Amino acid sequence: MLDKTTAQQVVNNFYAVFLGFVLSSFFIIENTDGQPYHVRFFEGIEWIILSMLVFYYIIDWFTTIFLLKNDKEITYNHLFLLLCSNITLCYTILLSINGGFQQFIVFGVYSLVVPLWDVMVAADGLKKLTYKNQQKEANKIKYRYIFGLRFLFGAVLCIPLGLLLWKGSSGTSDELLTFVHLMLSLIVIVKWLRMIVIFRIYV
Amino acid sequence: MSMNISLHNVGIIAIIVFSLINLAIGLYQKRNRANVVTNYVSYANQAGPFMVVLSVTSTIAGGGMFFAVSQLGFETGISGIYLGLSYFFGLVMLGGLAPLIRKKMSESNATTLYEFIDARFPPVGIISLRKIFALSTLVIFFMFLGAQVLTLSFFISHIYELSSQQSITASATVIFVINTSVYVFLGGLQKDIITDIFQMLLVLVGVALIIYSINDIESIKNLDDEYFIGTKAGPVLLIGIVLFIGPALLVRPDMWQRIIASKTDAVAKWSFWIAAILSMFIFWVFTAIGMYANVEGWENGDTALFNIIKNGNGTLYSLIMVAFLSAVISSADTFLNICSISVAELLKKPFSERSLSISTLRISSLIASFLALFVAFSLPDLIDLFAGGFGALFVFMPMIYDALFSSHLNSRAANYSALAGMLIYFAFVFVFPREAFLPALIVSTSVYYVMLSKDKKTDSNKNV
Repeated sequence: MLDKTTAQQVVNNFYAVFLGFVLSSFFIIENTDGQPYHVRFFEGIEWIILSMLVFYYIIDWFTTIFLLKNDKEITYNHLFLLLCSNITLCYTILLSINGGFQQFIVFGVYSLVVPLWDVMVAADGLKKLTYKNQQKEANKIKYRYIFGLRFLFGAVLCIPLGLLLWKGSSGTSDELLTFVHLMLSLIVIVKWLRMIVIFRIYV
Repeated sequence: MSMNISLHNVGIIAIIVFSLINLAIGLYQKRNRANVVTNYVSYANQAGPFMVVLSVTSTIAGGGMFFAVSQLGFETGISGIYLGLSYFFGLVMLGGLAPLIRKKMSESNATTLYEFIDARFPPVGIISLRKIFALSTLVIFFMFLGAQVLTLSFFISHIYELSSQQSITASATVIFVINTSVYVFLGGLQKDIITDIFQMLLVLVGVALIIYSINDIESIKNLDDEYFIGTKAGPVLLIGIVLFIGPALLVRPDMWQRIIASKTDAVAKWSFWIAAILSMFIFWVFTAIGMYANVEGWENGDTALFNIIKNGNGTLYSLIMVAFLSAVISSADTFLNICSISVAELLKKPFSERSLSISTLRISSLIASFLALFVAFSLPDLIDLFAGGFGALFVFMPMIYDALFSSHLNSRAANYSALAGMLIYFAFVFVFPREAFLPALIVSTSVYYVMLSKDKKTDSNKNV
């Protein structure tokens, strides 16, 4: 068993570091001729995606604290696993914003696998928690619809990446970058939707 | 010249074979239970898993699959794969909802979506949501039916080298003679589902033969990367396909018919899930065919089918042509059945008992078949017809969602929302057939939820 205050401090520290990293991603630091460092503010869709992510992760922070408070049997192992999965997921998304083909593939796999994991966790959580209202069926359907939509976006992202791999492409085209950004935006929006649905059901 | 003669013969043989088989099935069933209204409109609790799987798949995999999906693959690359994925998502969702839909229908004592809507949203004054929905589905399914007529006309014009107007007339005559006289006129949904088994098996054989006929599918690797990303026609098309196509299935009366027709809840659920996989596979095959047509340098994706099989032998050619005809007819009969039920719903006197009579349904099928001709002539673009039809269904999404999940229903909000949505839709559809659904959806959803919250507030004030 783990002291809840300690667990919350660990989580707080992690999110503080992580959010600092996300915020620093708003700027690109370049080494250019004559000027040792040139700081350039993100332009275009990257800026929008990052803004959405910052808001998402701030809410994610609160929900994690909320989960810790309600979990009766938190151990060091639980906390360690929670942080590891959060670090992996957060950095996968961040790296894919301006990444190369390999990062896109990692992001694609993440988008496909995480909704499945999510629904398994949710299935367990749904049994434990009581509903705010009596609309059990509607809530279940809403949650499954969001899960399905996330999985669908994951599949839409993975199919072209898989086909480009099969084709032997280098995966460096502007079209691919635009496509990944589009899917990233949609996935973040669906993550928000999921959060709203969870709040409406449980809180 | 010899090729044309051969094609000519194959076309005639295919049409004759179909006419005879469909007539045989129709007449056989006529002697049994075709006169029962419930069999005509819902075939409730009688279809086994094999029937439901093939019937759902055949409704999705119509004639448009052979041409429109190939053309989509030809023009935009893997967009057709996303389309298949979206259908997969929609059918899986519908399969998951099937037990709930059956339970709610049974509680409402309804055998069709129209009756369910009527039970959940009873008429207020002279306005009835059931009638608005019937009128809307009539128009929507005319569009789908028109799309089938167009694909058949394309097939006929390719074989007989007629002008497009003549081929539309010829194909419309063929398709309606076969369907109105045998399926819809005599037996309605019951015939539709039974013949779907035979037709869908032929489609699957045809798809297998098409795959077999493609010599070097790996040559599509030579296409540019953008064809493998699927955003060639713009990101809006991609988002539209992913977000709207699948969920639109929840509002389709033909899908509800098949859920009700299933013998049990488990049959409905699993059949829709298997149909989801099967439909997605067929979408993927035809997308690949379109991409293959592009890399081979053919004129377009529409004619890919003819190019692929032109060097094959007569048997191969005949089987693939028959498969194509099966696909067209298996979808067309479903759409015609829905059109006839919609016409009958509109002809029915207001405030009469809920069930329809078999003679009204038969007269309606005849009226529907003649009216559908005008749709094919007025909107002669295949993708417009599908997009226009699908889009209009969304107007009813909030009401059907609430009818299933909410215990506080409001007929007034539902009526005004549907009326406003459909008015906006018809104002735009002839100018922007593909985009008209979006303002209609926004208006109908806003009207519905604004009126709902307003009425709730009024009720709570009264209680205070």
